[in-house]
Amino acid sequence: MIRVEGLTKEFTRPKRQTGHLAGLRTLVTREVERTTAVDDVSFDIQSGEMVGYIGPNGAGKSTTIKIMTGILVPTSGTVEVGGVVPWKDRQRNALQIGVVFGQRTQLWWDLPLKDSLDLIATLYRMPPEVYRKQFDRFVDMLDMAEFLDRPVRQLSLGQRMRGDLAAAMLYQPRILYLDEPTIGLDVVAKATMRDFIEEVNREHGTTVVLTTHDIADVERLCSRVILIDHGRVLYDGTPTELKQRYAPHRTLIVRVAGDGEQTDPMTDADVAAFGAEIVPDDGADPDLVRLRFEGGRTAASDLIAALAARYSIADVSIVEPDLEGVVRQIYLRQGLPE
Amino acid sequence: MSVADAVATTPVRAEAAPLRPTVAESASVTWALIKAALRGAAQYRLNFILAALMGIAYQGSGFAFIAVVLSRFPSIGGWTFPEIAVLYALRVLAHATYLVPLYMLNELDDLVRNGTFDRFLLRPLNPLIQVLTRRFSVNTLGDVLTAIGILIFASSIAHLTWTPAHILFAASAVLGGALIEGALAVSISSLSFRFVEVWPARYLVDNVLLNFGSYPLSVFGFVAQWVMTWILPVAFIAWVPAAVILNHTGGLGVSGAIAWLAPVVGAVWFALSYQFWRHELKNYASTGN
Amino acid sequence: MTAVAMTTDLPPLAARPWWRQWGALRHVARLRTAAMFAYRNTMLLFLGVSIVQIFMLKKVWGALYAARPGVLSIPLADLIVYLTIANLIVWSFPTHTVSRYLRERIREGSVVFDLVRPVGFVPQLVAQLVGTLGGALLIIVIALPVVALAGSLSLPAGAQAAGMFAVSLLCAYGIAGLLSMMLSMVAFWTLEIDGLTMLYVLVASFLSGALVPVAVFPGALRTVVEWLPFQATTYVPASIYVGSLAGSEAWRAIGLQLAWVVILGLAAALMWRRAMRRVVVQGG
Repeated sequence: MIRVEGLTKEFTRPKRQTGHLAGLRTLVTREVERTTAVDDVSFDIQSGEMVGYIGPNGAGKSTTIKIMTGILVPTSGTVEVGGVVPWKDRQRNALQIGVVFGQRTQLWWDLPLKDSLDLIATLYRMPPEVYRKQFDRFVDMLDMAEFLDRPVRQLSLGQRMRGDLAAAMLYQPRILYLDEPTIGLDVVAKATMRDFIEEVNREHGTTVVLTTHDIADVERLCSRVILIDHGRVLYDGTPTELKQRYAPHRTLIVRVAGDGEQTDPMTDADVAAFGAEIVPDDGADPDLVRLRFEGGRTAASDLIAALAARYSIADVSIVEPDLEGVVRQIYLRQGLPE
Repeated sequence: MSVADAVATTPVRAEAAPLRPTVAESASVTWALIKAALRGAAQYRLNFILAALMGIAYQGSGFAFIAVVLSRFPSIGGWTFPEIAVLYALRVLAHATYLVPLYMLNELDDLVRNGTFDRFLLRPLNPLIQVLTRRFSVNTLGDVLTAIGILIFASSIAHLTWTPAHILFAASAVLGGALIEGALAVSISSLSFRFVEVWPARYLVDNVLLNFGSYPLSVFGFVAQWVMTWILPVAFIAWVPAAVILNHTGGLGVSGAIAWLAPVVGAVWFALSYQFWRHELKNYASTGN
Repeated sequence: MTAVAMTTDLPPLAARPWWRQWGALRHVARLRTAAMFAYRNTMLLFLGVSIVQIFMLKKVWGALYAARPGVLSIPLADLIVYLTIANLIVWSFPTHTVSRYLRERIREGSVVFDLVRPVGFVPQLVAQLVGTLGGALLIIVIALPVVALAGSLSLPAGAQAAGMFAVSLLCAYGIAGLLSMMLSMVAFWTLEIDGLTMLYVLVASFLSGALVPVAVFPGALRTVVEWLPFQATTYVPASIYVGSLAGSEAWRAIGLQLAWVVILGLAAALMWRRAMRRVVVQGG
């Protein structure tokens, strides 16, 4: 459905001059600053996939999305969306995509929400019966009935985002782009949005491209993750594989039964035998020990059994590797761990 | 609604990408947007009085000047007060005709700067039309009122007879003038895609038209007159058509019959300015913001 | 705006009597000139507009004189100089700057301190005006050739004229500054201040004699114009410069200017008090 090959985007800006007559000189200078926002990015997205497109700030996510939606023209490379080259055939491409920008609404500010949806329906030439059914359905799914008649400028962020989501999917586009859709939303609103996105994907086979800083969104919704940094694709695969490859550790939290005195403290040497290592903490709670082990090599049950045999265990819990942690590491490291 | 219903009413999706919108489709969509803009503006009725006053003050200020000086002097460049009133009326009428549909161009600066313009590239409709129909500003009605007022006044003191031929001629002149002013507005606004602050240039050009377009251009000397006939067709906005209506074609520098060409000149200029707009838009897409 | 931030970084001037604030005030004035540099695009734009208008006036008045010379006692050449000077003066009025300054103080809430000691506020405002003028002067000096081409410039009509012109100009700025301040204070009562400012500038410049000398206004309108303060901002200093107002007549005009300064000063102070009361009542 979406084919991106060798996509590169360079921005050239006149170099800002300093000193005398800075403004005038910047206007006429021939010196340029070149930034490569997107560097030889390639991927294919199949119809019906839900892809999370993530990366740190300034990684080039927004630029890629802008090119894919037709707003920007790339420096080199090819993009084909549903057989259409987006920036060459904007209006045609527009009919097959829906876009939600988390920070800018596409609704008409002064008019009631309902009017905005009516306008969208007209804009995308929806047959009246189809519109009516979609309208009723979305109002129900997104729980918008109570604020349909309110001008958009009076809506809360959560209400407005729901309106934007409805507007984007109203005409049943084949592809849905979401750029930071859950930013600033409370937990309930986020859940509503996630449910909605999942639903349209399931029912209509809508291809979804999601850009977000909320890794929980990605984990919950996306079957595929493309990680980009400094304009380059660092990872392209499933979230599970990403975790397994770069954060295979699970953590076992053990509460040792004791009377506050360590009669037989756990040491690294002890636990190493069971394939685990102690995670140092601030020692605030001497009865609590964090053990890190590799899920692939050591079974949690074996480890717990081995520990219970040796120590008096009051309680255990397991913390799974989280995608957010993995991603954070990659952002910090500015690259993949080897 | 049950899942079965939903499935039943979901149209079967064709495999190919949708076709480009037709002109007729775009036209009906545009009309819906215009209606929406008017509805949105209806809420801001209180601003109307101030807006009307401002329009009258701005467009009429030149007229107050002319009225005052011509109460003590007989003519300007051989044109008496009634004649200049007609000239002025044609100019403000052309200005109002251009302003009502194209006013939103003034906001293009802001739209580009805060990224709102991007959305227009994501919709199946010409982005220029989307800019113009985004909302309607009641400010423009002040200019319309001024134009109508001055036309009525000028018509009476100049004792104009409005035969169908005269009406047609005046209408075509006003249309031509509006197209010329529109062409200037579109071209300069297109620079918003390249430069951050374009409104000063717009304001300056508006001012030049206000200051020069309201007088017989022969007053400004041969060079200025020539430039404003053939390079920047300010002469065709009001002076030439007024001269024809008043039978005062001496000193025009062009044959009065050319005045009939005003709409054609305007249309050509407007088409050129639209090409410029498209060119600058391409540039915007390449450099982003 | 960085310049405004710098202004509010200074210690509250209101704490010291104004004659001791000289150093700080000079600093403020210099900051304001720097701020003008940031506003320079707007100033240049309006200068461009003024130059276009001066050119238009030169040509139209030339045509008027050609149609019937002798209506006015002043020769055409002098009239053009008068119009050029008058329009430059109008351009240099810090109407928009004063308006913006006041609005920023209001928005930042620092106007609350001014409430307690209005005396501290006024010298600061004056310093701001002086700084603005400094910036305007700089720009005029650079743009002088273009201005001279569009209109006409010549030296003042004598040493005495030059001296009186300087005095009159100072009074003119005082009056214009007070009028701008009062206009901006209207912002306490309405939101539509931008529209009103534009309206004001148009009406004021027409009534001030920048387009038409006061003597040309017919009958009743002339009386109205003579009694309004606007002609004291432009017509009086420009006429003195050109020499059409000279000797005792000129001194009388300057006297009237001073009278206007006093009247408007009182009116502004009154308005200020009413505005502050409104601010307090509304909770700012």
